[in-house]
Amino acid sequence: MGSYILGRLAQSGLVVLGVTTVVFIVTRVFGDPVSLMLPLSATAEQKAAFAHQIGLDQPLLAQFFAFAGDLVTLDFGESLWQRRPVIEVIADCLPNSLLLVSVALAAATLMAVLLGAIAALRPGGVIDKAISGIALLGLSMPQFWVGLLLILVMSVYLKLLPSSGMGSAAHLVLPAITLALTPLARQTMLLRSSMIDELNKQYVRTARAKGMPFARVLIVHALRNTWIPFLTLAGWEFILTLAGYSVVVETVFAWPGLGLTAIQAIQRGDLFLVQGVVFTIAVLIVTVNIVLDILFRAIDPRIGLN
Amino acid sequence: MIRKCLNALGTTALALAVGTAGAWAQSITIAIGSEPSTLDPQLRDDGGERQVNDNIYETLMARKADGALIPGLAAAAPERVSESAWEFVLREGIEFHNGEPFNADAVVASVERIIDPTNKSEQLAYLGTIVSAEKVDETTVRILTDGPDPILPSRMYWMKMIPPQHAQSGNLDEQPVGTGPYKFVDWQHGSEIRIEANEGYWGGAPEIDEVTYRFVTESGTRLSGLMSGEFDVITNLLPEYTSAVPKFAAVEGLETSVFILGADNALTSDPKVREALNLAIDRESMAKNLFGGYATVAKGQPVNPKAFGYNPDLQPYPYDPERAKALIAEAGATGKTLRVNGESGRWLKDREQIEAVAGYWAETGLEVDIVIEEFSQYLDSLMGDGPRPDSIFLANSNELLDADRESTFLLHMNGPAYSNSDTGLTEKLSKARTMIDEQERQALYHEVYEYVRGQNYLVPLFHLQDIYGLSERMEWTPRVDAKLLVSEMSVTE
Amino acid sequence: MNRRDTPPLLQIKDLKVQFATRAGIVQALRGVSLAVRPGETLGLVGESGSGKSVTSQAIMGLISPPGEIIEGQIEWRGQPLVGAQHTAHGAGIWGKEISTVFQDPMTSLNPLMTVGAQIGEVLTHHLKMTRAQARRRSAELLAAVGISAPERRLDEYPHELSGGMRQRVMIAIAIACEPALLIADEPTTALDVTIQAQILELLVRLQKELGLAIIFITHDLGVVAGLCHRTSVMYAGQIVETGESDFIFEHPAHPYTQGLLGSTLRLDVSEDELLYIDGLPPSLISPPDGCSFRPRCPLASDICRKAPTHAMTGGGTAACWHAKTPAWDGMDR
Repeated sequence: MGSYILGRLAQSGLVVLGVTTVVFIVTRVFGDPVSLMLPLSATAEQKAAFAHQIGLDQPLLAQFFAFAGDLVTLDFGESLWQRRPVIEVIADCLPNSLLLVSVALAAATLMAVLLGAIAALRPGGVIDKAISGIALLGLSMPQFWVGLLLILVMSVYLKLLPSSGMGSAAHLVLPAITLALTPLARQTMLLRSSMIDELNKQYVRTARAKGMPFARVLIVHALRNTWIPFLTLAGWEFILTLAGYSVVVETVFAWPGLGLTAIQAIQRGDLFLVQGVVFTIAVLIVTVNIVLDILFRAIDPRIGLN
Repeated sequence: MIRKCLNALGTTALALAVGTAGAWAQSITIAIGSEPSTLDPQLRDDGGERQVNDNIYETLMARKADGALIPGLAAAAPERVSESAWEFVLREGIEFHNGEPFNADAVVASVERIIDPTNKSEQLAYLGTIVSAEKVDETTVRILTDGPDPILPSRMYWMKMIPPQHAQSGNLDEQPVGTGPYKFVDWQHGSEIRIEANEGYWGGAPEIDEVTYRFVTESGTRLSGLMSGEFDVITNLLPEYTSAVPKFAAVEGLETSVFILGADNALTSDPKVREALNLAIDRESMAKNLFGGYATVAKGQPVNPKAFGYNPDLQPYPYDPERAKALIAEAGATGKTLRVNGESGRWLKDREQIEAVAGYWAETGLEVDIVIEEFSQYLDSLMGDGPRPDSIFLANSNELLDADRESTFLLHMNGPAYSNSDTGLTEKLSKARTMIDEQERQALYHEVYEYVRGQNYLVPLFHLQDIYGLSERMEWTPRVDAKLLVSEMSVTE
Repeated sequence: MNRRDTPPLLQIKDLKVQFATRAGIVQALRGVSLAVRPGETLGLVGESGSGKSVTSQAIMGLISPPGEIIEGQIEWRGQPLVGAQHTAHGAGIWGKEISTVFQDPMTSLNPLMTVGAQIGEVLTHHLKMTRAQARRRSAELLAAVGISAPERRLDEYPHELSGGMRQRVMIAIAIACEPALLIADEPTTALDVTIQAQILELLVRLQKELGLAIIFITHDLGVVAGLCHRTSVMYAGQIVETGESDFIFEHPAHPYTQGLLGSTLRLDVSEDELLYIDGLPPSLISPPDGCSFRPRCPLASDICRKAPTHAMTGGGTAACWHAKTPAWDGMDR
């Protein structure tokens, strides 16, 4: 187990380095951060001075080695936009995103298990059709639109919840619901179909023939067998949500998280911050994958350690 | 049970009392489009930072809501004491929020800090001519420039005065300390900034006691926050939403949209083609349909109407599609391809303007090829060393309210975005930059823009209006310079 | 001991089961009646699709939508066990007094639970044992079904066991609560021939030791012959012949039984003499009226268009108008 994890860590390190290198190249080859950062009226001398200051006048290879060297110490340089260390900016906004994403996904996952299992009990029944229909609806509604709709109803008309910002638990409700909707729909559909598969399997029939109470058959026997595809999806949703959907949702709800920071960093050509954000996301992705791998091995004895 | 009810009543009464007290201390919430990158008032060219700091810091020169330049921390308009020196006399008895006195030393320190190359202030783009500041006496300062600089008073409207002690030892990034009507309270990164009234403000304590700034990038979210009663003031309201909000206020702002024509390009080097491009556009209709009337058709020039040098006698280009078509035919350009460069999402209705104009141009018989670029590529097309585009869209902002801004940026051959090789024009513009006599200088700009209008180097479109959404209780007339000065706002309750 | 005098443990009365499918309603059981007495082994024989597995599922209360019991009743010790409209009273009986061994040991165990947990949950649930007691008893059960090193096996997962071992585990689970009736649903079909014999031996031994009644479901008449006291032959959702095994094998009365026996590999008949019954079993969506074997039966006559009555055969009954008439003599073999 120990050597397996070491191997995975080494492999993950390479992935992170690869992703970061690609971002390094992309941010420098496409687009000119200097003219993005400075006012339109900046003179050529001011631009040259700025390029020199942030090291962009160096040869690409020299820049890369300096960059890679700093990476080891988690030094991504100073954000051009916020004029403070990138690591500080990320340390400020990452916890906000993690809070939002965790709450949204925990809620989505619990609901998905409940709804998916209920739907699977009578495939094709009224409840199943209702749940599947709602899930399909959830999948087909763009989050941007859902977010604004929720704001309109819950904040503007009913004045029940704040429309944007962060602070109290109430601020969390609308963005979390918006963020949860798509994962909820997808996870419900997946759990429903794997649950139907499992419930039709012979071992479930055995368990029922053993006289086990239905709840036990459902939860202890069938549900556990859906975990691997379900957790695979849940991990994927976590990554998608953190690195993708959160950009839209955090923008709509002015939630000061990684997604909002990322989109603003891109708009402002803050290549150092972009690099830091991408690195962070890459690290999160490989971490999620390693955690999932370990979980799979804990759940399913058939998966070996190799 | 009865006791419980009484308790509840008591609590409600208390809450009411507290609520009333709360209303007495008036507080408002303003939603701005982006979080300040820093609260240091001298380093960045950052709209978010200005929207907060404009209330905390002050400048030697100020402007009235309509744009007229007036003394601020200076006691009177400055005097030119030599070719390249202006002398400011300061108001007396003003203190910074931390108790430091505002005096000549503070001015000198402020100037020296902002022009210090190690500070790499982005604001130098507005202040580039200043070389030093000298204390004459406790309340008199001279600002020296690298040559004659007629715009210096306007520039000083841009330079915020900082307390020298605090700038040395404190943390200006996070702890702004100015002389203005509001004092900084706190900044929760990502969420909000709060400021409160400066009771001892030299100009009299402001009416609103507390202001909370929230950072909301998405305009739809700002709108719904206003409608739900969370915000009192929102910026950049889209014209189509003016009917949805409780209240709104519009004012002609600093931005002017314009196309720069490539006067040296194969197709657009023909003056007939350029004239046709200007005549082909129905600007009145665009102002009405795109902006719901919240845009003013430019009078044949890209200069902001409130700016020094604006020529009020010029007429807007007429809409004459027949003439435009005829000119294109005369030039033998029918069927030739005109490239239209632009970007999307940076300025109000940018893409819509580009597409509408391109549509009018296509009706002249030209083939139109619209190229909407990613912003950094667009900047390269606008200001890079590559071939000049046939036509490129831009919304130009004139913070100094002086015709020099548009002239240097769009036309001068040392500027970043010129598309002509008219050395005569460049000579005149250079002269205007350093002219001392205001009358003469004004006359020169009038002459230049009459000439530029005739040459059709530019396709001026609209002076855009800034629209603010306001809550029912807000009373405010927005300013030309887009500053959100809370001291000018009031709340009716 | 005359088993016929003792009241039946299990009695199925005119059971009708349907499955709603896209093609139409499949009449899987069309009036099945049978009884099992204590200690008795009943062989339930038929081709795939004849309804023998549906019968066992019905007994275990495993008919669930789209399947439905539309008529009939299953009684356990004279009390209703399963009936129409999804009525069931099997809690505390299934898994405890009636248990099952299924056909495919490879898929019948939960792949994510240890062997010990899968045996143990029966004991803790039905016999209210503590975990420790259950574990001890599980090991004993594994030993009883002939698994070596039972303590170690308790912590293993099904994928670590061979097919034969898994079927032994299934049997250990089935006998854990010392049931009165064991339903063995083709328990050896998926196993190697040598393993098959071992499992059959084990079942016989356990039956003797525990006094079990067994319903032995198979398509293999050869297995039934040596094992079962009585045999019921199913065809197209109905029992066509039932009786003492010895008698049926000597004097098959129903033409289908005769055909089935004729097509079974035996020592005294060479392979090229094996009988081949032409045609296929009828569709259960629209079964023929009258005798359902009629389309394939060499004896079919007009009377067979009416539903046959049960003729006494000496050892039991046969649902045939031409019962006891040799049907296949002179046919091509």
